[in-house]
Amino acid sequence: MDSTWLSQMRKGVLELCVLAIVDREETYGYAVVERMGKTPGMEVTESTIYPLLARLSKDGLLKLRIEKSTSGPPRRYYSLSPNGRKRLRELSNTWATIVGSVSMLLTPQPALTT
Amino acid sequence: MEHDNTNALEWTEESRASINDYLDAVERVLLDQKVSRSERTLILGELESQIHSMVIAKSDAGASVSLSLVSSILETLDSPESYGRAEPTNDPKDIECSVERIEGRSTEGSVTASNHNAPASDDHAPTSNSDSSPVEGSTVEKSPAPDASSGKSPRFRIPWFTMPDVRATTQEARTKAMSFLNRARMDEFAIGSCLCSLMAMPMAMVGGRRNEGFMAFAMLLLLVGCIAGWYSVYRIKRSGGRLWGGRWAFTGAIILPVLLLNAIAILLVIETRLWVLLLAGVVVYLNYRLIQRAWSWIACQRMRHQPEVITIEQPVPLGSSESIPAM
Repeated sequence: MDSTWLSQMRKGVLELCVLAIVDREETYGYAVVERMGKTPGMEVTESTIYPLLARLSKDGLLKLRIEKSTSGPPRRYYSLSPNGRKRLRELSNTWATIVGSVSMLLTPQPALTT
Repeated sequence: MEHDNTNALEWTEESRASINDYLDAVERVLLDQKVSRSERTLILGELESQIHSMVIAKSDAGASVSLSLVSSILETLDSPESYGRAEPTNDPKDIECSVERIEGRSTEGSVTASNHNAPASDDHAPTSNSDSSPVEGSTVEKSPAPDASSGKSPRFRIPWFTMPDVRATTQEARTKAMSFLNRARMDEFAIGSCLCSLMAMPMAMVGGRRNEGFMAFAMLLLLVGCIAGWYSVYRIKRSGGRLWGGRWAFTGAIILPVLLLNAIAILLVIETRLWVLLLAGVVVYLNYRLIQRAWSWIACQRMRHQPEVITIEQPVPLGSSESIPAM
């Protein structure tokens, strides 16, 4: 399979996937990386996830809570903001539309008879 | 998914230095990509937290974190260059443009805030592999490790605090000063010469009759205005359009010669008396010609410094039948 096409596909839906993961529960960056790494077809690494989390936080789609640790660096927990939930709904609807349309196109249609 | 093994670890200096080198390399790449400071802090914090979690998961409780363990963990991470695809910010105020600051900090062997419980002196440092690169096959630069025998406490790097960079500040101020001096503006000498000359005339007429010193000062002002005016004309002429105010400069420069010429002419008229009307006409004509010639000369000199205009003809379209000569 063309790796460029696959990476573009991943890139397009990555924001939706991250928002969906964060929507389930409040989580931190490394957990998102591990979760995405275990998702078939969406194996992306930290160099992709962390900049995306930073951008989503900057855009106000994620809420950030910093929890101090006595044994290491502070851990940042992410949760969806109201804008993030709205964005997730929009992306989910769009994704459902695309999946339905593509599935319909891929389904073999009976030949037209005159 | 969260690791609960949070027992205190003993970090070696080499392991901390290799982590810092990796983080600094990532930060340099993010700086090159003009990623904003807030995003950089977040990305590096996540990365540091991940490394710490991976180290905790792979090490035994109470054991020292060796360089080989950290190297094996760093090898599993993405290379710093892979962060070059981070999305750039559009906020110029949030961009920190001092790469030198990061480069200078990496050579200090600084220790991140996550290692604040590490011992100051490294008694558990590995005896081998101290000169090899911490991450094989990667481009992480190795900084000199701090002197463990000196007994100095490690320098902490606080994520939200950066030391002021005097060199970058000085360079920025110099750039601003140069751009201020090189901006398109009215020449200061033009205004000064015009004001000097215009102020000198009423001073000479009003105060000069009562006080000779006042008169001398007015004449000095006229002289200074004339010299400054011609100097300003020279500067404007050589500036290639960057300086303007040529009329002001010319006014300041021409007043004294015109006054002197008029004074000489008037003295001649007073002495001769017969040629009063003729001389008055000649004086007016001479003044007019003098001003006209001087201004024409200045305008001509200014034209010579106009940038050369190169006209490029449009290429002939290949499909045009008119432009192709018949064979």
